[in-house]
Amino acid sequence: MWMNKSITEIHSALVKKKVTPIELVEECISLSEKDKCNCFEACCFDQARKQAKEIKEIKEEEILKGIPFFAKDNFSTLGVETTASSNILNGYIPIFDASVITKLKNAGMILMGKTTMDELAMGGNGTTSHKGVSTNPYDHKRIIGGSSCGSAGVVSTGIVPFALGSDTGDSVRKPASHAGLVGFKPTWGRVSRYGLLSFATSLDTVSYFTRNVLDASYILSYISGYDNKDMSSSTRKKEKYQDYVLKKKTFKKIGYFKEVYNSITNKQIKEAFDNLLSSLKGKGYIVSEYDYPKELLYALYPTYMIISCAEANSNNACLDGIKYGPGVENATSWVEYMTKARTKGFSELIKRRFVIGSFSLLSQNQEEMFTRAQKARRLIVNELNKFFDEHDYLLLPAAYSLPPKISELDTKWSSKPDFLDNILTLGNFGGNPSITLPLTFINNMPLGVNVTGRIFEDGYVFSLASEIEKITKLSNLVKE
Amino acid sequence: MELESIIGIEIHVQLKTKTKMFSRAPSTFGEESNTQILPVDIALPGSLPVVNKEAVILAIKICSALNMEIAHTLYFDRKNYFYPDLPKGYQITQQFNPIGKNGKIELNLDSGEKLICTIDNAHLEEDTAKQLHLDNMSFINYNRAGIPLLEIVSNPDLHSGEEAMKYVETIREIVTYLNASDGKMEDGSLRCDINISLKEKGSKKMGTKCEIKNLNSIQNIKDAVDFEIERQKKIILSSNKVESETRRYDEKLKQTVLLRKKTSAVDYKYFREPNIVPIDLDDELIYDAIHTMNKLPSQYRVELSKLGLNNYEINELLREQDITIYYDELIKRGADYKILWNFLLGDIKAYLNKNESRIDSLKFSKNSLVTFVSLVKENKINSKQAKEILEEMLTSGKKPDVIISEKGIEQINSSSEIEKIVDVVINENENAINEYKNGKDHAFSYLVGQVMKLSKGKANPNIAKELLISKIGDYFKK
Repeated sequence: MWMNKSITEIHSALVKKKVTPIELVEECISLSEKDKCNCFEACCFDQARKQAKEIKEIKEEEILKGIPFFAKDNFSTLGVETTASSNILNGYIPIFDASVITKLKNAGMILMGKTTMDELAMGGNGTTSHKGVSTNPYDHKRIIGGSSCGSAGVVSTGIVPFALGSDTGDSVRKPASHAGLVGFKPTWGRVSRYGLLSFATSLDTVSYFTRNVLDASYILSYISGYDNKDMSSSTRKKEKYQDYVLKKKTFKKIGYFKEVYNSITNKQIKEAFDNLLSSLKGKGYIVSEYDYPKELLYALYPTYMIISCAEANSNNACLDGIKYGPGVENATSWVEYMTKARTKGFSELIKRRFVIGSFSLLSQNQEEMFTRAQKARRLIVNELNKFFDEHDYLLLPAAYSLPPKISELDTKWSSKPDFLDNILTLGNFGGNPSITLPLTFINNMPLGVNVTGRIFEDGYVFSLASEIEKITKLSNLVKE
Repeated sequence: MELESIIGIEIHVQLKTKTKMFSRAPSTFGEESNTQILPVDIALPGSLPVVNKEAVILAIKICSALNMEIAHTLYFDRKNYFYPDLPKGYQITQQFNPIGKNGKIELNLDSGEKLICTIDNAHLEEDTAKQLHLDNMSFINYNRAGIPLLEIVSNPDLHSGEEAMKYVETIREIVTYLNASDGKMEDGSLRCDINISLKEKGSKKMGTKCEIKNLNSIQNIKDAVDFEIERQKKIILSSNKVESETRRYDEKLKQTVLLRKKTSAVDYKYFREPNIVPIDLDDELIYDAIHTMNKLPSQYRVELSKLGLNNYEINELLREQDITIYYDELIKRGADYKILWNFLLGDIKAYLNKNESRIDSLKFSKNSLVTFVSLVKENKINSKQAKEILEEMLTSGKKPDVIISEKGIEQINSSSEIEKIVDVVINENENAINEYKNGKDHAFSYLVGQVMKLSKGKANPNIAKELLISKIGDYFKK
């Protein structure tokens, strides 16, 4: 068994020829066939076998070469059906690879296929895919969380050591908490979004799951950098992010939000968090409480909903059934054609988001809704930057309760949302690098902690996360 | 009630770039359907727009020629609406921060008067796909989708068909002279929408406007606008209300016809395009764009008018940029402006048109033409000979002096040689001389003709005339 090991362990076995890429691929395929979490969309096993067989030699410095991985179904993959788990894209086979897929393939990684997700990445529970609900391997009655549910599933059940996801609100960092994984969201612009199906452009970030922090840092070294196909990708120099972990380059000042801390009702979470803080103090970190404005914490949810729904409504306007996806029979006009395609293609939850997005952009509402949400976003980020003037890291629990039971989920929207559920959106508003990693187990369910840093200080985020990993001793977790 | 018409024009200029506004697909016209496309042109999921620098540079040149303020930071916005020709479900445009603002151009009206038309803004955007409807099927050609457009929006400063026509003509001249667009209305590389309303003269209250689309020639603009003004006038004068409509011009009927009623305005839900972060245009890029601009028609006008060409001659010349540039070059090499104009716009242009060739394919050198013009100017050849020589130059490319010696058609400029011929003519044409004396002018022409005939067309006609006059004087003194 190799696939339940870390990237670095598999790599050294490959270099020493203890295992071959084709053996890894075959193991991955047989594990995939036993999936109980509903992780998969289209797979490309034959293509993977072919690629694996072509690999003759793996050098010491080729860390990722020969290792299988999966990608969330919202990455465009050449020749492999890509639906974003929505019926409107059933049968759509892309003619190009997303830039991040190209980079991983160039590094020698082997794409095994696509993982299921909340439809069009909208949703946090992993329950709205056109393929149904994804479950948590630690307790199949509970959600694994979304929207990157299938990718969380394949890494946590030991099918692959790494899977691509995307994070617009907390779509990688929340499921990472529920599944005992490392979930990393880089700085916005650090990794090209070309080929990632847009949900909310200004928040969307190519993100991923691994089972330890060092693996996550290696991956960023391979996938970051400017891409001339994505104007929002940064021209900043690439770094060797693993050096921050290996050489322990770290900052010292950690802060957490008083308002958030005081709202933690689960005693075990509070205790685990307190223990972590004192261990960090013991290691010489300076830990302090910070008074982040409460009204801005309450503004997180409405601000997120309006901005993300508005952008999503426009970004998904291309899905009209004309150019790709299942067409429509017997339409007598283009209006009827598009209406039928979209009515049939999207679930009710998606339509609700589109309506909100569209409503908030209408000229009579735009000032009061969309423009106001953007102003709120600016305030939220300004205050976050003030925090980062005094601190190097924001440390908070990644979840404040166990993942809900599927039978108890409610799709109605709460009129009084709990800001604890939306705290991770801070990192998307500011574009900050942010990582979730395991903190503790409660009733045999994993629960994560989150570290957020200043933009483009992704390396320093890895280094603190690596320190935390040593304290919690929770890494390389696999639930088979 | 005296009515006044108020006209504003939106012009969409397709920019002549190698690739599209937001993709590297070629923006070639007339290729096979759906072959000039990349993922972003058909909005394949995950594709992203990348701004074409060449389009930005061309836009800066046009804005500069239209005397606009040029933005130093580029922003793009989304205009959201559903339509089959709009692959993304939105058009990327510049709603809030156009690349150019507050421009103006001078129009030269036929009366000789000049009119200033101010321009609100010019903004970059992308073209839509082209639809084709056959029987019960519709086809979409995405080759056009994403071709860069600069939309130039005038203020309502125009008042007649002629003014509207001159405005579009002037803009067309500018964009083609800048080599920024083909500017062909018939191909759709320059399209205009014209808004027309009527109001009571002196009143501030604006009337209901109609928009005219699908105008495919400069002349149609004038005809359509004049028709529309009359149509609205009739409605108002019969105490009815003009309805807000989109109309098109029907060339056969020579009238504007209803395309659709304008109901409540579409809400385009504009917002900033989040895939394109604001782009700072550095001063050097703007400076370089402006300082590599071709000479504009307005600059030529001033210079040509100083040379002594009249308005008609200037307009005829400016019609074609390559001919204008050629003319300009020959003037610099010392050719006579008037003689050059006559031959260039006459025999040479006719030859080019007949052979469907361009001026840069002329067989003779520029210096040959300069020599030719000075031969004419110095009366070394007469007009008949000139035509003969030029024709030979056009077909063979030979130098004029070579042609002259080969054909032996050199002019006789020696007074003594011509005098001999004149003497013969005078001796043999007593009747004509008497008629001339009695005031019959044609008799003199006849005498000149006789001199030319005897000299086989080689005598310098001016010298011949002078000699005739003095010899006839001598004749009567005898």
